[in-house]
Amino acid sequence: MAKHKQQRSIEVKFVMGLALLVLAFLLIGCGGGAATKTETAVTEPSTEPAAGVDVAMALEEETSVGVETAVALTATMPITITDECLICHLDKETLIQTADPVEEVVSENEGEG
Amino acid sequence: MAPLEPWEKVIIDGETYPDTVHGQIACQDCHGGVQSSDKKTAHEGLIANPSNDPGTICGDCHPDVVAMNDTNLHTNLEGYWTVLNTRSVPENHDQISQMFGNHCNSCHASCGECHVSQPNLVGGGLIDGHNFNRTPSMTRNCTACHGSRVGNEYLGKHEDLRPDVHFRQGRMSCVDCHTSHEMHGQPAECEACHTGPEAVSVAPADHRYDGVQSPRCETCHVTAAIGGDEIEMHQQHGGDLSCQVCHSISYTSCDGCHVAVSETTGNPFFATDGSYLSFKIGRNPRQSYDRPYDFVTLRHVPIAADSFAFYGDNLLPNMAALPTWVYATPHNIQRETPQTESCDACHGNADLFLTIDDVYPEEIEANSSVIVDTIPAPVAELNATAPITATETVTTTDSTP
Ligand code: HEC
Ligand code: HEC
Ligand code: HEC
Ligand code: HEC
Ligand code: HEC
Ligand code: HEC
Ligand code: HEC
Ligand code: HEC
Repeated sequence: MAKHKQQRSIEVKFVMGLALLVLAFLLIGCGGGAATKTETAVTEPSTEPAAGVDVAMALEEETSVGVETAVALTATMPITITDECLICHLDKETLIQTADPVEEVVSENEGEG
Repeated sequence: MAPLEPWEKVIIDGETYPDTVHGQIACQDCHGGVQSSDKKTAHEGLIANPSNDPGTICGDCHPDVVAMNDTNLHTNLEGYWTVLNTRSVPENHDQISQMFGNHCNSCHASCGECHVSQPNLVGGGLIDGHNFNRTPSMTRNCTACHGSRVGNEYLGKHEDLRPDVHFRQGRMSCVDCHTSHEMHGQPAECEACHTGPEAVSVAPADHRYDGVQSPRCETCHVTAAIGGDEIEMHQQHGGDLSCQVCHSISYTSCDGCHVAVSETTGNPFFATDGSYLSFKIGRNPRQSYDRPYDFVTLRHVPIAADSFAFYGDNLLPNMAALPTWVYATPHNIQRETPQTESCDACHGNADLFLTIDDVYPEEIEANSSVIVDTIPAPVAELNATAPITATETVTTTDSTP
């Protein structure tokens, strides 16, 4: 399983508030999937930390200073998510639409187990 | 806890999860499936519970935890097998295995069911947006499986019965006592961690009360255990009574469990004749170096000779090999209980003890090792008279409330 460390199929260049993310996916992701099919994901294995990690760390440092983070967050938003699993599993609306109908399971158990 | 909506069960927290160590791993590496924007295609070959195979999925990075997994009772359910095999015979193994597959295997806990999602038993569902939580949640992981007995007692869900003092006063969660050391199983080599005399290898536990008593009240309450405080009962009874004999209150017992497979739905189901609250002190069925007490609290387990009759006749021919009133550690500890009121709240009070008339006639043989036939006499009489027998006490205590 060593391949995880190299393979990064998810690239979240910038982490936003969840609301913004959802909005963004609605626009670029689930509309037709066109934007998401661009093959930007398969970054070559590199010894350098991936960009996402750097940003995440920077953000962590910044979050202690709340106000600045908020400003920084709205600055840029280049989000490229190419993992189809993630695209769907981040989006409440898609999940609601695609969920299997809930089967009424009538439990025949009686008494406490 | 309110049940989760279907989408809530499967939504990932995009703000936190992708940046975690596990979030860097491709979904497919753990879950299989296919890259596609169509749900049906994407879910082809999906592995819903990757941690059922922790060796492949988690083993590279958590070799120490995974190495112990085979000895983990949560994984191997060896505790159930130990008692089933003792009450059954090898010829019935196939039918018992079939029963086990239908009714018991789903109780097994995977890594993910303690760290990632709610147990499948309650319908699954991510706990924290797919983050791998170090500390399992008391109510969403532990008591999702251990709810009807342990959880309800600990959290005080029974009318008129207070929650356990460790929860009420100490705000303690399960894992404050049940650490990862216990929850993950035992390393193959004791010597890897221990040196000195205790490093002798012991077989992994084959039952929840097998081997070292862990956790143990005495570890945290040393003075009480050695009678090193001002409390006369501690000085008098240090070691011969389990702590629960004095510090727990009524707890759950169950009767008559039967299992079958539904003709209409094909789903396995069970039925019990009933559960009830009671408090019974009996002789210790598991007395050992690790559990030295002469007297402990006992609860009735719902096994019966015909519990598995759906799968075959007489599958449990050795019912008498084990008591049906078993060693119990109720999770409703209180500083003050009816028993701690006075010495004679217990001495001479046959109601608190498991006497022969408390036991179903067909189960008397199985319980002969735990039934109390000599109730300790009222303290004033202790030196004056010889201990009185159960039958005599029953008459005397009938008049005492
Ligand atoms: C390191 C392995 C691993 C990776 C990578 C992983 N998962 Fe999981 N996932 C698990 C485990 C473990 C569980 C809990 C279920 C179990 O095994 O008991 C789980 C549970 C889930 C569930 C909830 C199932 C339920 O109903 O309880 C969903 C949905 C899910 N994962 C989706 C994803 C998606 C989408 C990705 C990629 C963003 C992903 N997983 C990446 C290991 C992983
Ligand atoms: C690619 C390596 C890798 C794989 C595969 C992996 N883990 Fe981890 N896991 C880590 C690392 C590294 C940490 C420590 C993270 C930290 O300290 O932030 C960790 C931490 C954890 C923690 C503690 C969380 C915390 O915040 O301290 C749990 C629980 C866990 N992993 C469970 C699992 C399970 C279950 C699986 C298999 C389904 C798994 N891991 C697969 C690398 C991995
Ligand atoms: C998926 C269901 C499930 C979950 C989740 C679960 N358990 Fe269990 N647990 C079981 C079953 C089943 C057994 C019985 C295993 C046996 O006896 O063979 C058990 C046994 C135990 C035991 C006795 C055996 C031992 O290893 O010491 C303790 C203590 C325990 N569980 C505590 C916990 C705690 C604490 C949690 C939460 C961190 C938890 N359990 C989560 C199902 C579960
Ligand atoms: C019955 C519940 C349970 C199961 C099953 C379980 N764990 Fe844990 N795990 C715990 C508890 C409790 C802790 C300690 C939490 C704490 O200290 O806050 C823990 C801690 C951890 C940690 C943090 C480091 C450590 O060892 O304390 C990792 C990593 C981990 N578990 C991985 C796993 C893996 C991998 C599996 C499956 C092979 C697994 N766990 C199965 C309950 C469980
Ligand atoms: C104050 C410490 C403490 C706390 C908190 C605690 N336990 Fe226990 N638990 C014990 C002791 C002591 C035993 C008996 C251990 C032995 O004899 O080996 C035990 C045994 C168990 C057992 C096995 C015996 C049985 O009754 O089936 C389970 C299951 C269990 N605990 C689950 C839980 C759960 C779930 C929680 C949280 C709701 C919890 N415990 C909280 C101390 C604690
Ligand atoms: C992991 C340590 C730990 C274990 C194990 C433990 N306890 Fe405790 N216990 C505590 C702590 C801490 C408190 C204090 C709670 C408070 O008063 O805030 C406490 C409180 C109590 C009290 C109430 C004391 C008071 O002054 O009100 C009693 C009685 C008690 N424990 C008995 C037991 C019994 C019996 C067991 C075994 C089933 C046990 N404890 C296991 C840590 C532990
Ligand atoms: C024969 C009955 C009896 C037994 C057995 C017993 N206790 Fe107690 N315990 C008492 C009484 C009585 C009190 C005082 C209650 C009060 O304050 O009214 C007490 C008080 C306590 C307290 C609170 C006072 C303190 O010292 O902090 C703790 C903790 C405690 N017991 C723990 C234990 C533990 C642990 C065990 C098992 C090793 C144990 N007890 C066994 C009767 C008993
Ligand atoms: C919750 C029940 C309980 C309480 C409370 C209790 N005892 Fe006991 N006691 C017993 C049991 C059971 C025995 C029998 C122990 C044995 O045979 O190992 C016993 C035995 C004794 C014995 C030895 C009698 C003999 O024949 O061997 C004495 C002395 C004694 N208790 C004194 C006391 C005193 C004094 C108190 C109050 C400070 C007290 N006990 C409180 C349950 C209790």
